[in-house]
Amino acid sequence: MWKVSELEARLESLVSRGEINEWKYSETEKLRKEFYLIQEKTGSEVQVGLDQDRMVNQSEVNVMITVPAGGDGKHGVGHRKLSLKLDLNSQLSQLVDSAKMSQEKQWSLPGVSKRAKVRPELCYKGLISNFDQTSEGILEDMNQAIASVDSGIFNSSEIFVTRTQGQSKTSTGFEKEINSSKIFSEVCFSYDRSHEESEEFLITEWNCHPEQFNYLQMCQDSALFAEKSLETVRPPSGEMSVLIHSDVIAEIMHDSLSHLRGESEYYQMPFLSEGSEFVKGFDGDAFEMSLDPGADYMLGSASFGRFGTAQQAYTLVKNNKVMGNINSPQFAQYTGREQTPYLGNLRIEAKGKPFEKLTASSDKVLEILQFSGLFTSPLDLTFSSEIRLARLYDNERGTVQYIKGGSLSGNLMSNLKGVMWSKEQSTAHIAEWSGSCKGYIGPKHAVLADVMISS
Amino acid sequence: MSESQSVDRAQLSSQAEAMKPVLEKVYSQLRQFANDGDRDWYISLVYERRATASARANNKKTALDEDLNEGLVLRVYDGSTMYEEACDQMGESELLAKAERLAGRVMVNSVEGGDSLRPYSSPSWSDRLQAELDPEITSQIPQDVDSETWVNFGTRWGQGYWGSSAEILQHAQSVLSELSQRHDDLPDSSSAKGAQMLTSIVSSEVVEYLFVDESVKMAQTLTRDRVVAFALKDGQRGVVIKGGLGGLETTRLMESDYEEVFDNLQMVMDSEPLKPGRYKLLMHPAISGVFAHEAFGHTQEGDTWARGRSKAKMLFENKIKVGNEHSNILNNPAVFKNGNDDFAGWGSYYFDEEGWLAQSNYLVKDGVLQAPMTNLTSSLRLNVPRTANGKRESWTNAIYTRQTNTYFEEGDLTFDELLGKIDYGFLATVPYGGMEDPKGMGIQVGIQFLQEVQDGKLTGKVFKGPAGGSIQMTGYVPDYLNAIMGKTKIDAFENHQGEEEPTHPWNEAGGCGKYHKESVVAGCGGPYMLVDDVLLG
Repeated sequence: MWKVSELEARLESLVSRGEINEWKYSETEKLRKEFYLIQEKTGSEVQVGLDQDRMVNQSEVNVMITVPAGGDGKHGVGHRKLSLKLDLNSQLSQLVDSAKMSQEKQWSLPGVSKRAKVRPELCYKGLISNFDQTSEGILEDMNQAIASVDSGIFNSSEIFVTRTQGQSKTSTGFEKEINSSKIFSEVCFSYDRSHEESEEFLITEWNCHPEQFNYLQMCQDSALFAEKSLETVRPPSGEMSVLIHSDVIAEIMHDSLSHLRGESEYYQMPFLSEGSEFVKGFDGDAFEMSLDPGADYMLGSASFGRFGTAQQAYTLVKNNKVMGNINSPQFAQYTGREQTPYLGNLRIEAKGKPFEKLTASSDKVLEILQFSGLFTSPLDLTFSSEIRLARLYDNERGTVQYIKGGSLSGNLMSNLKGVMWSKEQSTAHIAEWSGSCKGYIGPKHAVLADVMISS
Repeated sequence: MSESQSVDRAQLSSQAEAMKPVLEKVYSQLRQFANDGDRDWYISLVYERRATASARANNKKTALDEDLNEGLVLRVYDGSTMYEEACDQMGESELLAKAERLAGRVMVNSVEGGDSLRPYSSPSWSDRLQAELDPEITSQIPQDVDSETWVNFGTRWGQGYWGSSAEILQHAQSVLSELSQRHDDLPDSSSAKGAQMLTSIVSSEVVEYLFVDESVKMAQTLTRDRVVAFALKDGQRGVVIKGGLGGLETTRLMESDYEEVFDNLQMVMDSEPLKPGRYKLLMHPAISGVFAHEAFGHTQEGDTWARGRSKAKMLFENKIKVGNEHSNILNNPAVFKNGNDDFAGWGSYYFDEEGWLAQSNYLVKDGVLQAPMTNLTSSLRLNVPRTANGKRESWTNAIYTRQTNTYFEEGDLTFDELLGKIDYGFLATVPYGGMEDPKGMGIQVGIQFLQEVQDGKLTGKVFKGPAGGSIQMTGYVPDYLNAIMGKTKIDAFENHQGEEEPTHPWNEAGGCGKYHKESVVAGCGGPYMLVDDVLLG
């Protein structure tokens, strides 16, 4: 077993021998506690049982290097997770060999900022002082919330509590301590109208701090929407105003960032350059879209970029005009543009309307309570999904009906033209399959115009 | 049982081999804790070692990413809860300390006695060998196997395996070179000409598992490889994915595969918006596979049953028919010959991550639901048989009931015969995701584009979604299972060559997410299948 303190010396030695150009490493220790709650049926009574109880301890050392390669304006780049039990020299030697084969246009690690411009809190302190006890406390909160709900039938719940600690360093002198927390909670209730008629409604959330969850609300909503799922009709077909919640706003607006990134310009993918009109023919509620890396307990927050560039609030779109592109150190060097902030939560600011005005904004407004599976394409900014549960506000008839089934098909750049935002604000986190999460801060609701519904 | 003739197979690495005595020692320590307190614990250990290499080549860069991830999961089931301690510290003393910590956790939290306990003991080898197992499994089990015998399973290689990561990168570069050549050869009139990015990705994954409990000691080495070739133009893409469990033969692309990349790109570039409505839909095996996976794949997962989240339990108990005579859906981790390919299906293995040997299971037979797939705890909670479906994303994640290869059973028609049944409808060939609704029995199958069929012939017209994106097939699962009009044979085009007839329908190399997270590999497929009155929008 080698020690991480040896790693830096070996990397510097490889630099001095000219075998590598630059390096970065991170060393992290991750603790995760997982609880899986499940219904225990005794006759007609449903209790809460514990199906699985897991403790995970993961230590990682990840290294990134760049190496000389070819001399035709390219360098090699290698990333690898190192094993503490295998020989360090041979792992580094393999990494150098592998990096020589991975060739890309040369770029250099950026200069390191002297100080942070934002200092968000990223870790719930209770998980640092007593991880086990705090995790058990979060479980207890969920148990109490489940017990407080007097409608519906409890199905299941999952709680994952993660704390990550460590440090990262670069050859350019950037040093950073890592301290972060992430909590996942889900709950599902069902509702039986009869033996054969039953529905469920799953609610999931990712957050950083336990106080960002309202477990009682999650449980009540799950039970209520399970019941309402049994009172549904199919949606009418045709184009309609659709009211979406912050989780969907977050998903589709994050997709639009891909069209603002220098990476898209470099790879000749769809790209909107600074000064462009963001949405052609826009006549909706004016909004400003920015990156906000400084919000406390948001999973998209960061004081520094990966290589030590201080991050700060950065306006991307204002008055429907692209105010700035997102140029990370690598792609700024590739495209010859100025480096910009590139991390942060997506923030939308707009003069919003009360919820009631949004639901009354057209003859018919369909409020999406949950999509089955929202599929979006960052390439052409289209999105589509089956409707798991929605509410149809028929303002001509003065009725509100629950809807299930049919599908919705949209294109962000068309449907955003007449957008309306809510006055009420919210935050949301969306998890990616890689394990990282994106953050959203802004209006809790938005109305998109002329979205195609098929039923 | 044992293999008589020489077969080239993946072997256990020396690092994994070296963990066998460590696992035995840690198991003994946990056993001792149980025996000392006269506790009725079921104890098992799973070691996972995952070496991955992924090579990507496009017109701007080449990249080779390698990773090695290993971990051990110590497990104690006390008759009610499965307790786990998972870590990546592999030193013997550290693992013995983890064993002590785990035993302490169970002792503090365990519910002693009571009628509600569901204790478990693992069946012996003689019991396990009573099951109907594929010869690919039984041939690797020694004749005199007992609880102390380490049984090693390894993936069969038809054309050997990568000698180094450099070979993987070379293959990615060669696929890119072929792709570029085909692109250059496209006529100027082709809408696929002028693609802004051509990319190839070749990935190799060598996953090794060691499993120990009171009755068995097993190891398996799985080599799972995949090649992806795609072209992007103006935000649209054409893509081909091939892969499976095997050797180098799994990542070979044929001339027709390269053509398919640009044919697909051209079709989506030339497409027009679909008028939403109900149509006849002829599904390519990749689409019928997603349908099978989402329809009564997820709905038939035992842990979803046990959570009270699936309607299938009620339908099964009340023997309510959910489909017509064509509705036969299987889940099978033992697909060791995938359609016409002479290698195993993407979601195959020898035993699951809880040590249960792979076997085929009907999920729906002649329109009637069968018992669900299970992992250990869901099988005990539901009091239904174990199946080999206990899987996890990696050692850091929990076991759930997961699908392996899910597919519709074959029919008896050829592709042309099935096409001939369509007066007006569409052919769907490229999937674009899917989603289940186990309690509500809804379904969503994403489709990249549709090819129009009129009077049994493809018209050449292509459609995409009403807003220009993917198309969604949505509706009520039993309605669709009752509307299946016919299916093809495994060899729909009757072009199979060679001595051995295909035994299982073809399964595509895909992935599956569960409960909005928890990603695992999964194969899904079947024959071409024609369904009437499908809502497309």
